[in-house]
Amino acid sequence: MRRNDLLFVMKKVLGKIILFSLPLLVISLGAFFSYSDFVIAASTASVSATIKIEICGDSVKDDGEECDGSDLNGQSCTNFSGFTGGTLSCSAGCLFVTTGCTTAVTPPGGGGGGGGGGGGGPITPVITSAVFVGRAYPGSSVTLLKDGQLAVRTVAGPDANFQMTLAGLSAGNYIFSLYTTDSVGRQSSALTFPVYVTSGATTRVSGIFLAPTIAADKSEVKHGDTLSIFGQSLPQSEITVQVNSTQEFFAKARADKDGVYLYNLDTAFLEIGDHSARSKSTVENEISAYSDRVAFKVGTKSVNEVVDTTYKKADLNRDGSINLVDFSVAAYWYKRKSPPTKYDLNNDGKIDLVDFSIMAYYWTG
Amino acid sequence: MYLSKFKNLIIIALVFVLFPNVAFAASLYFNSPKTDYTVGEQFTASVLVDSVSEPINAFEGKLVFSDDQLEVKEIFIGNSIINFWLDAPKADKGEIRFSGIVPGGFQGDNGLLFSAVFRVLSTGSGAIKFSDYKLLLNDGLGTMAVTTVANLNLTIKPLAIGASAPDYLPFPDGTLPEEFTPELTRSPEEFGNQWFLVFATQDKGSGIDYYEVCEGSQDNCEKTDSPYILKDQNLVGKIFVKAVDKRGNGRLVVLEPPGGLVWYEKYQNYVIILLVSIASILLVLKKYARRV
Repeated sequence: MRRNDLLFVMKKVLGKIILFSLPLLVISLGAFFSYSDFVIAASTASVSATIKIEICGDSVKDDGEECDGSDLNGQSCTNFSGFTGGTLSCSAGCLFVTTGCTTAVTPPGGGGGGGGGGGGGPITPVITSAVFVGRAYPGSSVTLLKDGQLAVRTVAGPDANFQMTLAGLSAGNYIFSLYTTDSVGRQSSALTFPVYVTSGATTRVSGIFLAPTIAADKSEVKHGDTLSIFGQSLPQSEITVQVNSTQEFFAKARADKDGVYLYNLDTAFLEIGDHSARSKSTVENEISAYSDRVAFKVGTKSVNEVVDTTYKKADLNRDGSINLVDFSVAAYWYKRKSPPTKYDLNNDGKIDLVDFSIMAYYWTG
Repeated sequence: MYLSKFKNLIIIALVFVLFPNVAFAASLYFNSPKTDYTVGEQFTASVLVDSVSEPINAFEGKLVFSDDQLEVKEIFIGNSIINFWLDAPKADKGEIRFSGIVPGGFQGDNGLLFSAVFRVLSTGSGAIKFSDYKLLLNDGLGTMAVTTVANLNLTIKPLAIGASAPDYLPFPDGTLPEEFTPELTRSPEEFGNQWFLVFATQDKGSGIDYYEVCEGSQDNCEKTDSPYILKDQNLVGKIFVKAVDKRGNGRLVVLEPPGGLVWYEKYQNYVIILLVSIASILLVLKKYARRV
């Protein structure tokens, strides 16, 4: 091997070593310079809400389905009481159909001639749909947005469970968002997720666990006084309240039979300054998404809760919803000269992407 | 490619050291079948985003390339994660600008923003680069997400003598845009309380190309965007809103006018005219018969 070749190989090896060791170096430096609260946050970040996406129509039986196409999960008519034979089939909704099953009872008078063979079966229209199954709060209104626009609204049962079906979809990628509203009209944070919808099949999204609502009784609390943090979630669920301060900490509360929870925070342990809190709900090892953050200040006096004015500001036409109408009128003024100041949501003197990002955060559809 | 990855790692390293509380980073990158092409060849480059740790709800940026080397043939926004475009991607003098939002934010990997079909014009080393990009977190404040990018570097070779460039198969799309409901609205605070229409839909194939609004009849149409301020503020006559995708598939929605139909749109008027005409003819005939 020539000297130049050797140098070339050495350079390449050295480059690879640097390339692979750099992330380790970065992590080490990050850990060295970071604060302890960062480590706590990182460890809790791994606990996240999960949803399950199953496709009814792909001929593979998933957990939430009785069957799927030809996959009958090893079942036959004889597994159903009252039937001794025949053909078990599966519906388009992935439920067993026993209409083709028979019993062994011989018709009196002997058998007659067999009927003529049937023609081709009815042509089943191709239905592409999605089903959403999850938990909100007892009797709460649940809203489903499809690609940012209102698709379905339903009311959760007394047990907080809900199910909604969306038909007439095309095959492709969708962004779905779900949120709920509690008994006093507070809106939960939206659970937003992308789903690929398969043509001619029903995509079942289950395990949806909507975040609790959250509010505080004061926007500023006198140091040492108690701040009440409250909201609604699933009945009897365990609520984890995360308080974001210099030293982040977690507290527990339990929701009552109506899903209402309350946590009294002793602010004697907090520093003077700005803080925030958010909550999540846990039941039977299932964890909800995190709520929005509620901001509060620990200071020298107590000030009662104030309404979030940014939300109201993003509702440009004051109709109570933040949706396509608000987006359209703001987009009309985007990059135009002398736009009205009310479209400038962050008061920086211009209408730009930041204003639309704020609107997208408060979006209700 | 090696240098680009190395640069990204250095940026991430600096971010982590300087901002230890920032535990997330989004990335913009391309998906293209290969990086070596011959002159005359066409290829699709998809622009994708990864943001696994934090949701992103607003995107802005541009792709920059040499227009002596690459020509944009088509741009597809079908199946994009972006629900509402501020600037739908459009090619102009070696640039493709884009911006839009995802209400609620996108969190995940391989999120498609759009795809562009390029035709290779000349040989040499080329690149499609991200420029002036901005990704904002879904945090209610519009905080900028730490973003890394991976540009698409290309090697373009001359076409061999006697050879022809590989055929490009156009993207097929036979499906209509999704159903939608335009909203007719007005507010004292918007456009001087004039009636206006807002509308938006998606096309899961090639993507929406344009919208058309027709007032009164389908002969009186105009290509437009949402919002559309109605010319007829009395709301007399039907309103037609058509969404058309890049392959010409159109979805038409007809709005019944709140102000009522114009006289020629009401079939009852034709019945009355017919009856009056018959009565007039009979009257004239009767008079004529008397004279005779």
